[in-house]
Amino acid sequence: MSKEIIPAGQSISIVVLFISGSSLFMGTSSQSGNGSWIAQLLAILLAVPLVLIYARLHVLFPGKDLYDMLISVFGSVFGRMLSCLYIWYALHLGALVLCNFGEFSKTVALTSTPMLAPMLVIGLLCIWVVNAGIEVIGRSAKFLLLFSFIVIVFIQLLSVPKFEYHHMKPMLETGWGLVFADTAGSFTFPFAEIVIFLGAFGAMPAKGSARRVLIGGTLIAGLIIIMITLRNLLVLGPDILSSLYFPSYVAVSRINIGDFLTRIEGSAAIVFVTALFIKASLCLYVTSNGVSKVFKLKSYRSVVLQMGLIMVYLSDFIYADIMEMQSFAYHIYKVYALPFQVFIPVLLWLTAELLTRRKGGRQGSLQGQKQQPE
Amino acid sequence: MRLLRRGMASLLSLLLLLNLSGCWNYTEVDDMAIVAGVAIDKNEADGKLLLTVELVDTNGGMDKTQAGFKMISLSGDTMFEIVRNIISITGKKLFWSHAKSIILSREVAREGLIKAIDWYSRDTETRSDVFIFVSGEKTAREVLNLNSTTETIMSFELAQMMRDEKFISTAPAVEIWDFIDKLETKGNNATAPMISIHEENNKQNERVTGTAIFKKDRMVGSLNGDESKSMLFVKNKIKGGVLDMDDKQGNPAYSLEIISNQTKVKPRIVDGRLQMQIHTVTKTGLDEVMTPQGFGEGESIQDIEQRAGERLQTDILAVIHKLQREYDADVFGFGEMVFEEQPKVWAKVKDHWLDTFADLDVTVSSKVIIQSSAKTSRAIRPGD
Repeated sequence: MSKEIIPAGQSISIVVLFISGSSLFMGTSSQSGNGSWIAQLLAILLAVPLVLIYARLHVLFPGKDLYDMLISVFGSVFGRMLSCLYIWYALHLGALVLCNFGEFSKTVALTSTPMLAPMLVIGLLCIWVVNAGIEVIGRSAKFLLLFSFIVIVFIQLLSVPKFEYHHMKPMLETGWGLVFADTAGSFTFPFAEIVIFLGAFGAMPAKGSARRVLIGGTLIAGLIIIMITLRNLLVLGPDILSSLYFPSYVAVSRINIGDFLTRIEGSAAIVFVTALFIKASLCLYVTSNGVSKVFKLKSYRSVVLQMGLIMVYLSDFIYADIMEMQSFAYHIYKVYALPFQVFIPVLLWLTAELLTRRKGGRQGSLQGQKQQPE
Repeated sequence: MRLLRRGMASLLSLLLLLNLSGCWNYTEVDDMAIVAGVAIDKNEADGKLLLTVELVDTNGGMDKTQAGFKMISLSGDTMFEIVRNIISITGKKLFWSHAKSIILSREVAREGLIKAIDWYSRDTETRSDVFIFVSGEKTAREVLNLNSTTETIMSFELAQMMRDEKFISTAPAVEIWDFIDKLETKGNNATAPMISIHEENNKQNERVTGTAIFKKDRMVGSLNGDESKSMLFVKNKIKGGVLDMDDKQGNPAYSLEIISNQTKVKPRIVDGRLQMQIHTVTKTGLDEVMTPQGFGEGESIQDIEQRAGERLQTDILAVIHKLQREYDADVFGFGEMVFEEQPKVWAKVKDHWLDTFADLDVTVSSKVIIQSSAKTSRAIRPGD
């Protein structure tokens, strides 16, 4: 089986779309009112060391993905158990993303279409693209990122006339407590979600710099998210912002250029769909890849369809309604996601470093030793 | 194998046929009742909400150059119930995306608006960029009903009027999201334009002038057109309009056309008391001189500028005092400014802000600059 490799430019595009995807239409958690952009900045600062750890894992295990690492470090039983947890996390995250999209289309765009229909359509597209391989995801991400970026910048410029700068004042009126709460929220959703990308590390060139990809991607995505947060804040103001499910959509709907360029929020929603498509696809890829690694399948492609359909179905019944979704995304998720995003990877990294040090004295590096049995 | 492929391909194309038939819930224009605007009243008989919708009549004949309209009224307990029940009259589902105006009766406004507008801002079929009005007449319905005399779709005409409001500045143009924004913001009270029926030679027309003042979601009073203009000066919302001026003897003599205006409001602490310092700079053009003496002889431009400034200053102070004393409603957003500029002071006063507002010190300094005198350099000078 020829190995799939995606070049750095495409990986960066995937990372950017993956991180900024949900925030493009969900907005970011905004309990701290007009301090939320500071929270985003802090979240990016927090995410950078974590991402460096992820990148370090790629140096320790070149050409391997998360599941290989877990199995080789924690042994075939415990490693597989942890892998199963990650399979669940990726599947669940993919379902959440689809669900966000479903709720979005049901609430604002296609109100009388059953939620399952748009989710199924996107789900089938994801199944198709994952079946075609991660290289296809990479190439589409590169193209879609360019497109999305142009749209985002364009909309940003169009909303400038609606900016009310006094919404920024006074600085930090809610105090640091809520800012830190927001930081925690934004750190887990969306920045540290990039842990999913570890599951696709196998497709990175063994000698390629994961650090460049992850740091670059995180920073670009962070920039986009801060831009969007600021736009929503300046257009809507902190009081209204907190009452909306999809602040970006409402902020864009306020754009009115000379009574001519109005109601463009429908077109802007295209960006949500492209970003979400990449995010859900990567989740599906990582889920299928995990299943194939845990059960020693020849190729992940044999489980893509099944996993994809499960993901769509899961997204359909996972929340009863949009209020539940909101409360999960902003209140529960930041606790739920921590083990996946921080504890297990850090544990993996520390153990791997330790093993490398110990083995390093005796016979070269861990990689040389570990690659032999495969 | 080839046969199987072909079979599969034809099956797939058959499946595609299903999608090609069109959208999921495709609706023809003549299956919808397009709403142009609504009037919300309180039904006198049973105290329930009475909703009147103005519908665009899509069944125009060949000889018609303008779309017609249809009026339907229905009462009920909640807005949404009424909206849905109207289908039983029209036989068509209402289509809200093109609605432009909401007119509320004074009674509804006095009893609290939230029950009338929450549905409108929450529902996804409606758009939050409609203009909101308070009727100065007994009911909101009769304003909307004027369309029978003016032969136009009233709601669209009102929306057009709000777009041109910037040339007169005697009423605020308020969209529903803006209204709710002001309702929710601390240290701010909402306003809405007043609409009334202007009667002349037995011909009735609608007229938008004046401002309804709200406290929370209840209307507490109103300002007339001139007071509204002064209020808009404080809110830095003046984009145009006319300042009329008297000559020294007190006869109307000059019109100044407002070209641009810049208002700065600064909350300051003076001698331990909160003080709002308002500075306005208005650039105008002298557009009308009604006396043959004119300017240049009787009065210099500087005199007119100075008196215009003083006049504006008194007008602004008068409207602020009126709002402080009579209505006790902070429609200027002074509270929000204090919060933004002096957060520490705000923390102390926010719980009883409206009381603080009522005896707030305000200073106003207005400067009027005459930039041009339009086409002529002097007044019309009669010969012999």
